[in-house]
Amino acid sequence: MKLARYVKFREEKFGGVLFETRSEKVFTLNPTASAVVREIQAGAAERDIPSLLKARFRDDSGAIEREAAAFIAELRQKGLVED
Amino acid sequence: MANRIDSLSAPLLVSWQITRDCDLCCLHCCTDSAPGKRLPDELDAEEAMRVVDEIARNQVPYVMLCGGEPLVVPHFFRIAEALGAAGVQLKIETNGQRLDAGVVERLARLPVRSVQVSLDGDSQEVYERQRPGGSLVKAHAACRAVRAAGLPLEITFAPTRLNLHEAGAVVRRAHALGAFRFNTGKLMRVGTAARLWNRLEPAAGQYRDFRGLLECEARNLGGQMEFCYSPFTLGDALQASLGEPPATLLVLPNGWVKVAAALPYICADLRRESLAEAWAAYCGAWRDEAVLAGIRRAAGNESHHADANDWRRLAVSQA
Repeated sequence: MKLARYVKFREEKFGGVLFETRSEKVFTLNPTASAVVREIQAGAAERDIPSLLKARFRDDSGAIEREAAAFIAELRQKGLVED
Repeated sequence: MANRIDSLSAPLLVSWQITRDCDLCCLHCCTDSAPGKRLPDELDAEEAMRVVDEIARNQVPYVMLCGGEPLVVPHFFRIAEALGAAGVQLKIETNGQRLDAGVVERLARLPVRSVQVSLDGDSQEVYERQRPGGSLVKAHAACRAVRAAGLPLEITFAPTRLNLHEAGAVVRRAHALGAFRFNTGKLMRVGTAARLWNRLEPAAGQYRDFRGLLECEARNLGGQMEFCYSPFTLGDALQASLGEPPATLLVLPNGWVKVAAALPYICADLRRESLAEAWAAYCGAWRDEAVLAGIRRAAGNESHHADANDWRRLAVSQA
C-alpha cells in the first residue's frame, strides 16, 4: 500500500496534512493518523500498521489500534491510498 | 482570530507567475501580460532557483507555474525539473502555442498533476479575436500531445461577449480532447480585461444562459468530465476566503507575494525574505483588520478589482 499518485503528506505540529492535489482537497490529520501515514510511506504492510502503532504509543487499551484501522479504511474509501 | 492557515508551517500551494511576458496579447488577460511585457525586475534564473530551493525545503507539495506564458521563460525547465526532482507536484498553465511533442515529452518525466490549456473559442476566428496572434490548431495539438503523453489535461475558458456563443462547442471539444476538468467562471475585472470591460463584459442574460449550459453539459456528460465554476465570481471567491483564507502563496514575476489575486496588496518579497517569512506575513495579512476591510470591499464590488495589478506593499504586523 502507498499514497495515491496525487496525494502528498506533510508533517505539522498538530499532526499532519494530506493534500489530494487532483481534487485540491486537504485533510487535517491528528498525531495517530500522521503516524499511520508515516508507516505507509515507510513501506509497512497494511495489516501490521495497527499493531506497530499500538507498540509505538504504548497503548494497551486497544484504542490506537482501532483508530489506526479505521483511518486506513477511510484512506481506502477516499481513494487516498493505492496498492 | 486565528485561521486554519495559522497552524500550517508553510503553504500547501504556490501559484507562481514566473513572467509577465507572453506570446499572445489576450483581451481578457488578468495579469496584463503580452509580448514584450516582461517586468524589468523579474527574478532571473539564479534568483528563481533560490525560490525553488525554498519551496522544496519548506515541503510545499504543489506548485502551479503560470504567467504570462511560462514556456517563454528560458529557465522554465530548470524550475520545473528542480521542483519535480524535489517531489513537488506541478500544474502548468499555458496557452499551448509552444507545447509541442518535445516539450510534453520532457514534462511527462516530471510529477505533473495537470497541464491546463486555455481554449477561448472553438473557431479560429473567435479564438483569435480574443487571443490575437493565437492559433487554435496549435492549442488543440497541444491538448492532444498532453493526452498522448498520459498527462492529465484541464481546459480553461474565459467567457466574454466575443466568445460565449461558442461555449458549448468548447465544452464538447474539451471532452473530446480528453480533459478531466473544465474550468470557468465569470470574467475577472482585472488587468487587460478591466481596461476593455465595456467591450468584453457579457450581459446578465448571457451569463444566465452560460450557467444553464454548463449545468446541462455536466448532466449530459454524467461525470466523465468535471466542471469547475463555483465560486462563479471573483467576489464570491474572496468572500469564501474571508471564512477560510487559502493556504496559497501567489508569487509574482519579481518575487513579490500577493495576498489575493483580486487585490493589489503585497505582503512579502521573496527576493529579500525567506519563504517562511513570506508565509508568516501572508498569514498575518489575513488577520489584519485594514486588509480584511479591503477584502470585504473588493468582495462586494468587482470594480474594486480593477487596480489589482497596481501592487502596493503592505505594512502589516506578522505577530
